[in-house]
Amino acid sequence: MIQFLVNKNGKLIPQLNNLFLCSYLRPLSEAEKWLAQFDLRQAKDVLVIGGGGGYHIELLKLKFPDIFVHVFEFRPEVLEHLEDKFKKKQKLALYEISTKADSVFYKNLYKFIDEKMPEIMPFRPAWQGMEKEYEALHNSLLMREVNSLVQYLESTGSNLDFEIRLLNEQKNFLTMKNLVLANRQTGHLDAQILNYFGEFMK
Amino acid sequence: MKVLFASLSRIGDYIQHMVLVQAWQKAHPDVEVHVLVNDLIPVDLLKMNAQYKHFILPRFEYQKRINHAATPLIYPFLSLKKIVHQLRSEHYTLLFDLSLQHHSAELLKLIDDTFSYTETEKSVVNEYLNRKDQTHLIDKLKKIYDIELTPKSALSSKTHRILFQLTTSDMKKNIDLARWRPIVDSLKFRFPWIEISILGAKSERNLLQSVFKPSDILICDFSHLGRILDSGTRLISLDTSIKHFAALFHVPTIEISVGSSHWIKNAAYQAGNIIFSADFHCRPCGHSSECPYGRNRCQDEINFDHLQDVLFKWVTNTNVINYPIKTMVRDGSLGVHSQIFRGEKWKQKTSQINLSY
Repeated sequence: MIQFLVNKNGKLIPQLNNLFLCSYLRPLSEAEKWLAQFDLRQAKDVLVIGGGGGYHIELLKLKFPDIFVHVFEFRPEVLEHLEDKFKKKQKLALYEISTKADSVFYKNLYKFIDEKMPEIMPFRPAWQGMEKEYEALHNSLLMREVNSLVQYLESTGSNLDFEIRLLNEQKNFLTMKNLVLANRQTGHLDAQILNYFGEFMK
Repeated sequence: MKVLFASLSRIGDYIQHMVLVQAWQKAHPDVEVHVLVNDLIPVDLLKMNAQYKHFILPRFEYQKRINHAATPLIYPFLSLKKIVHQLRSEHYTLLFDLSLQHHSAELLKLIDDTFSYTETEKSVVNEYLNRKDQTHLIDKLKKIYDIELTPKSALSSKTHRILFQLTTSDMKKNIDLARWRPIVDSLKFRFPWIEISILGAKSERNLLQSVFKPSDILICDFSHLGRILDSGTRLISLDTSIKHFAALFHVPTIEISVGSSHWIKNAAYQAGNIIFSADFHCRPCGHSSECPYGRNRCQDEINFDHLQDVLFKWVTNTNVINYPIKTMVRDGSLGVHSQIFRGEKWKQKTSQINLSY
């Protein structure tokens, strides 16, 4: 059960058991530090994973009003709080994510990723208590592991075809080079586009 | 009819390529021209050629993020796929590869499966890669694509401004910055009525301030520079995009060629420029190879006393006769004339015959 506490500056801070989902004392400076990690000069869409107290989203909207912010959140109470907080905000979409994601969810997720290519912005303080679920969602989006890449390829009906054995040898962290080397296709345009990245590796 | 010119090299090449594109368009006014560039080209420079639709391949963004753990693995692929499909949907009648590099040819093949280099293109690329070849890049390209273009001449009136461009993106093409300070100071002392500025990008401010006074440094972009380049301005430049940009405004220029910079192939496409080229056994080295000496020793071959002597005469529009190399128009192409001969090797490099064919 999530509770909202008011800190000494009057800020609402979500708390789950003994865990705060954003900094209790300094949520604004935490948001500053978080945002400073990202280079958003080219970004049109961003995907924030974890709603927390919403201060990081508030700052993001303040500094980049033209960027469309999408927020993924597992906890309905946090989402309700964010909906209330950002009632009139433009270019902001809040999504409640289920912990029991099915193939339809992944199909829609990857369709969204293919279309928007949002900058992925994990807000880890908000993951507390559900680290495993958030981490799994984050990994699905990054596709740096063989399983998540396969999930992407199957969900999107991709024309790419890889020698999975070769990819499995690199199971900790896949790179574009791994993809180029494991590419089994040559005839399809998508495979040729992928092979073009081989030019960057010479 | 719609055509695409690919200019996927660096900023200086793009500036020169656009001169060719404009000349081609002049001969084919009814054709819609598009240009494909990479993300190295500054936006303000693209805006100066806004009459052509530009597509940007974010190649350097890809390279930066390709193995960045926080970037989804598939993003660079998705981004390139989008660009390729966009370009394919334009249904170009012709594709021209001004970069003439393997990676640009491969990209054009993605846009049009039938794209390949012609025999002329192949032979010109081979000629250009030959170290003994003495033809300017533009003269090579205009030969391939049958473009009418003659180098314009530098225009000079009374000098009221001297600009120095003393930093390049490649260490091999630089001269130790501190070596320039005496020459800048002596110019300021001798010609106090002339405005003298050291040009630089924002990122170079601290480096330039380590040698020059902040008041002498002019941090600017291409659009700002374009507003101040006139016939009363003169430029002293290493092998940079700035010298190619200045040639668009017919600004008289002294070019300093060291490291991988070729004294003719990479010269500004303008007659009347003076070139100081370092004569060193490994010159010009490959663009992508590291200097075997660590510090580019060829820079020491530039005689600063001689440079200063030429500079003082040049600034006052006195007839400069002791120049090492001067560019000129020969049979419609860029040739050079040399006043100083330094043995057989030097003669070969600067022979007075037409260097373009």
